[in-house]
Amino acid sequence: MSITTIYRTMQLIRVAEEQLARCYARQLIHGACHTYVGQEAIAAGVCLHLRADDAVFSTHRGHGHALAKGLPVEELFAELFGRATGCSRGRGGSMHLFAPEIGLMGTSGIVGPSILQATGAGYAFRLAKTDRVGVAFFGDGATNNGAFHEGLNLASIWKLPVLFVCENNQFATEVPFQAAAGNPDVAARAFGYGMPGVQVDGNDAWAVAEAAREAVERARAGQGPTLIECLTYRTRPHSEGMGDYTYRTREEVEEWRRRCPIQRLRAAHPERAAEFDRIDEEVAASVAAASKGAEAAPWPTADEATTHVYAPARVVREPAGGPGSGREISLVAATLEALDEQMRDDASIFVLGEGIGVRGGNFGTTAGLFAKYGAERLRDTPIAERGFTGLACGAAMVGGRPVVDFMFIDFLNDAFGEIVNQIAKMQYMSSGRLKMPVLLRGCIGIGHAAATHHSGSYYSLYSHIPGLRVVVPSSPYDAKGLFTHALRCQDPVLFLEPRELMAVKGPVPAASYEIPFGVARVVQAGGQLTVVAVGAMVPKAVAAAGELAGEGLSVEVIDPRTIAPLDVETILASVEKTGRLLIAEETFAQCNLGAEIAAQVASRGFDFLDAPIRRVTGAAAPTPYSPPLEAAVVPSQAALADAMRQLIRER
Amino acid sequence: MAIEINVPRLGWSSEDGIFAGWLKQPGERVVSGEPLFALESDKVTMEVEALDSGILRPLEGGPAAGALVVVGQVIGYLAAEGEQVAEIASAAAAAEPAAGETAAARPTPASPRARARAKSLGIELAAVSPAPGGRRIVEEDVLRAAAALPKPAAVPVEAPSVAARGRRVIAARLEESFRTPHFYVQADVNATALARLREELLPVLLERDGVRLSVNDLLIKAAALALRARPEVNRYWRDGESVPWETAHIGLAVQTEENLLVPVIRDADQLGVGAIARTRQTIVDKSRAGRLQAGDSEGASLTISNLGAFGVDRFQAILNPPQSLIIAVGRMAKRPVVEGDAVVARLTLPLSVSVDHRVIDGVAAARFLEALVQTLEAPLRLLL
Ligand SMILES: Cc1ncc(C[n+]2csc(CCOP(=O)(O)OP(=O)(O)O)c2C)c(N)n1
Ligand SMILES: [Mg+2]
Repeated sequence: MSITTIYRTMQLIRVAEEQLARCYARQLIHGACHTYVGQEAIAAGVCLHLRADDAVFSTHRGHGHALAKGLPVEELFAELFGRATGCSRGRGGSMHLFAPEIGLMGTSGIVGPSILQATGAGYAFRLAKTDRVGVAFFGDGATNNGAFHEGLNLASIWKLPVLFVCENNQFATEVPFQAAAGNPDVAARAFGYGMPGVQVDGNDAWAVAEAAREAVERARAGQGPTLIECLTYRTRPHSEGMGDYTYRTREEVEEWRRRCPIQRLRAAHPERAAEFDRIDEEVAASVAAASKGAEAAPWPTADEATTHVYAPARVVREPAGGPGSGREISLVAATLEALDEQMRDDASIFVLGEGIGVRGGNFGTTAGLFAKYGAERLRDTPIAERGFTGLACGAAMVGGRPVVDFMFIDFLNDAFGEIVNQIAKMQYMSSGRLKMPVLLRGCIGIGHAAATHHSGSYYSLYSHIPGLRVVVPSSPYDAKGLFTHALRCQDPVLFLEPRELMAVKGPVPAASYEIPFGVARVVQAGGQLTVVAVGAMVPKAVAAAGELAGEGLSVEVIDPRTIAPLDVETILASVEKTGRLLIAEETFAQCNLGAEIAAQVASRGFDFLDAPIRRVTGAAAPTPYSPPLEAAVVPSQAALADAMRQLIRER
Repeated sequence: MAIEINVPRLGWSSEDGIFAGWLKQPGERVVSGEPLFALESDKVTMEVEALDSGILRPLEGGPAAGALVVVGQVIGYLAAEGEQVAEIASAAAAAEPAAGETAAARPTPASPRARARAKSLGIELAAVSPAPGGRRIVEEDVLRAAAALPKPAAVPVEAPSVAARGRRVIAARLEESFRTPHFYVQADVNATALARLREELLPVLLERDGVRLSVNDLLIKAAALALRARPEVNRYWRDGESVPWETAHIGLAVQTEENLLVPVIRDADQLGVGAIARTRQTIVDKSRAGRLQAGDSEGASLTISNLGAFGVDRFQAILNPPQSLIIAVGRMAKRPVVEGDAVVARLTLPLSVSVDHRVIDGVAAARFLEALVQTLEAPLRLLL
């Protein structure tokens, strides 16, 4: 039975790929097309032991994995043809295949992340106390990428149910693996991470299947991950239409064609020849039908081009009472309270970070939670920001709700690609079938002589990315409500806490409440000037406005609270009233939030403006250490007050 | 240090005015309290007294007579004895870039908000200037210009000869007023009894109060009583809604040599005709002498404009905002009237009431006119 399945899968992949190559030549495929010809035994052998609820994360060369995991052929063709009935609704093409309903979590145009995402799926499966496994397929090229190192290490230390399947086809595009690896023995590297590594003949389907069976059993039994190196060869060019014989010879390719895994299985089972012939016929018919069907399939319509960037928003309202005047707690205590409440109610929430376990976080962001929720939900990590961010991505893709505590948001930049290319894009690329409730938190801002690697803000940078929510609270009350909302919403959220305000206390209701994203707070009403201030600039702006009030000048201060989505309406309404707009930020001017607000107001509120829009910003320099230098790059209250006065008087 | 001479604020709505000339010579010694220059605003010419003492040094390139000046603007200095004019002039030049070349090259920039506001108010930006030291026209400047626009002439007579700029402002204001949806109700009053009453009272009041009772005095009283009889018309349009006047003040259009003024007889409904005549005499004298105070032209429910003395038989007037009524009075004369089946000669007084239709509808206006006519035709009520 297994032999039949493996044979059918390999044959299906082969015939489908050859038909896709033809379709590529006929220009039915609009972008790249990386075929899997020659490597079929690996997908077929590994997937033989997977259930629909096991999660596969794949690469740019993923058609075979998709078909082996059960993707209907016509959905593959339709996707490459760019049709609405494609598995990614025409959003992905060859490199971005999504069918999470059958455990095809996604194939990726970026080399490496599949390793981290499979690790994350493993983490979430373990947390949910299931025996599901995560599988990463990746090429030899990925083994030289940091994701390989960080992912294997993370999976090993936490004994996660993951299969790392390296398809060593000996080239990364045209670069021979021999030339790219100090130690070209991939399986042997497993030893370095403390996990079993096996090397198999990747063109021997049965050998692959056997290795995979063992690895899957180990994983389901809680014994941890396995690295399987499958030695193989792709016998078509890297991508359809690319030249092939600059980096390898025709003879070498011919030689590997003769080692065809399909013929090999046939040869090993002469008694099944008739059965195999029948399968060949069935497969040929089904691929032909799929190709034809896909060609006739409808195109997606332009109005679908921007749907599913975010999950449908839950409609929540900020409670009418506001902060009230009850007990006062710090901003950190406010988010801790929110985190505790939500962790109590939602078992899928877990926290990753350095020192967030027993220690309770550098800033006390998780103080006391380890004792309540244990090590698996308050996971101290190695210093592998990219690794655990990619892990968080994979965990969210299979239903987990990770909170990644970066301490300082500067460290988040080490995970830039995982956030921008993976986490932010996943809901869109999967047409909303994946939800990405990932909360990334850390402190921002200049102060405490923290110098340049512990003082960045970066919210403008990240708010540029469709798919991300970016929150910058400036009061304990806002922090708790927004944090609670972040933990209940389905979108990835960057929660950036101004370090200089973390210890500042303010009234916070003890009961749980939510503050929706995209609703600015008018911190102080006024008539002559609108000041939009962010983070630590909010209390500074309020103090400066107080100075001006003493001079008879009336300033309205608005805290957007969320940078993405941005509440432009509240700002516009204020500018309509005052006619003057000042934007106060600690970050440098170039392409910052203020530039965006200025553009929106100039565009939509042009006739409201009685003076040029002005910005108060930090200096365009990395943050220096020495106190007088540090003070020189941050706008002071006095500078803010001056700018306010000048703009009110500007004629 | 030289002391700045600023344009003071006149009245509650004025943000600028027309500079009407210095009352002292440049270089002349001025003592605090002496009249220093004349300023015209809302049809009132005021002599502005010096607040300090010193030698008058008008600002070089400062306003000429007839120029529009804004409240707060520096128009000159009171310098110390021996203080150099050059110093002052150069300091002023440094503080305020010369408007000369740049202004000639292109119009003063205006903020988007100012442009939008000017458009909605129907004001030409050319008639607006920035506040002193300002490089651009902002909304406040437009609002100031709008508020300072002179009340429109109540009658289509030749406007006072002010500087071209001032005239433009008046024109804009008139245009704005004329856009108010007007309609007119008219009647010829049988003036026989009215004329007799006036003749009888004239010597009495002349002897008692030393004033000559005019038909206008009787009209003022009659109009005030008609307003009280028909309170539904004693209203005006403010910020998009009709609001009532609490009082029944009556404005009277007065033509001076240069100007058209509308001084107000306050609470005319409560004054006897003698008191009205006295008050009228006082304010007309003040108007002619250019000594009207800022508040003297404010708050009337309606204006009476009488061109009868100029031989005009009948005419229609433009409203004087924010008022919603103006009564145009023609020449009192004998005219042929049909009585029964015969044509007879009768003394009549043609009245035409212009009405703001936003506030007052046709029937209400007709009732008001009816009340006015009845009082004038049985004028003994004016003495009650
Ligand atoms: C991070 C990243 N760098 C570069 C590329 C461009 N690229 C696409 S496929 C590829 C080669 C990958 O080689 P390998 O991982 O061995 O997979 P194979 O193509 O051999 O299946 C490269 C360099 C990419 N997609 N992602
Ligand atoms: Mg390769």
